[in-house]
Amino acid sequence: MKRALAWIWFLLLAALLFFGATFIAAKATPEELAFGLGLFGFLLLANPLIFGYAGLLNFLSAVARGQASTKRVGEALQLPLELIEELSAAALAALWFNQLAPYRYAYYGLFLLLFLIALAPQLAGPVLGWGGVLTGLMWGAAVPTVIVFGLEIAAGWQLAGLLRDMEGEGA
Amino acid sequence: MMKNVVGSIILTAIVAVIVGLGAGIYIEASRARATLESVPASPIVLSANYNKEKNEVVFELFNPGVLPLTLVDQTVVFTPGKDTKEKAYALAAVPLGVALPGGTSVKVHLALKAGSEELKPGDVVAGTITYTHPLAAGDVYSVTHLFKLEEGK
Repeated sequence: MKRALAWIWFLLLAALLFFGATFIAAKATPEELAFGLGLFGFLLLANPLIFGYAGLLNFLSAVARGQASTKRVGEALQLPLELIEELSAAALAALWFNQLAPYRYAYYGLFLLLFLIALAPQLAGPVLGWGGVLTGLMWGAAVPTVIVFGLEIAAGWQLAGLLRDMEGEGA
Repeated sequence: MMKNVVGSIILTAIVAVIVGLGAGIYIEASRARATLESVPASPIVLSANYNKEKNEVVFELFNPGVLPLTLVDQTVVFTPGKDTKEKAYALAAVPLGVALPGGTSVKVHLALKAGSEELKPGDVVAGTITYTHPLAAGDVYSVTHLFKLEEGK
């Protein structure tokens, strides 16, 4: 029953999105469409990073409240519980943060590639047509990149703070 | 821990404002360009010269817009000055049929009346060029430029 309701919700939202997007696309300039494509394409690409860092931030705030659950980390990292239950919360968080590093590298690498392809021709003067549309893709992709950047530095700095606190306790 | 949260929020907010400004300026520019491209421009006369040998006035017309224009015909109205014996006359609707794409200029030769005397200083030639644009194919617009022959030219 719950599953059927979820599917109905999903189909309703998909239909709304489809009609909304069609309505917008009918009035949009090619540059705006390129912006939308870049936004949603890079949002898909950024998905594991956004949910990964958001989960890590949740875990870090649970650690700060003293309610951290090792089981959740095992589910998120797809590691057997026996392997990680001995680890401290800071070690788990560091493990989680480092597991996301390759995704982050790939994401920033692809964004850098798009950035260079879009902006390098502009150095020779303003580009219309293809070059202008590529710039639109780049600006659209910049929006999820800001989200990833913000979540990443928030998680990284909080993790660094946690590790520093632990050092203070150890000494 | 609290310091880290505030710091990361401030840094992210700064980056977000920069990216938002960039994306907003880009989208606004694309809309402004789309608007400009959909508005037909009126041709402007860059220069007007008198060619003594061929007894004609040459207008250089420039299309400052993006939409192409078609120059349909030309009308020449001659008004004599003090020094000339020629009487006033008009040559109406001489067919042109010249295409003027956006951002380009073209030279239009306004031939004076056959057998008329050459222009003297003080004579005025009013050249009227009619044109059409693709958004209102049935309508004809016109631009008129007054050419007065100055002393010593």
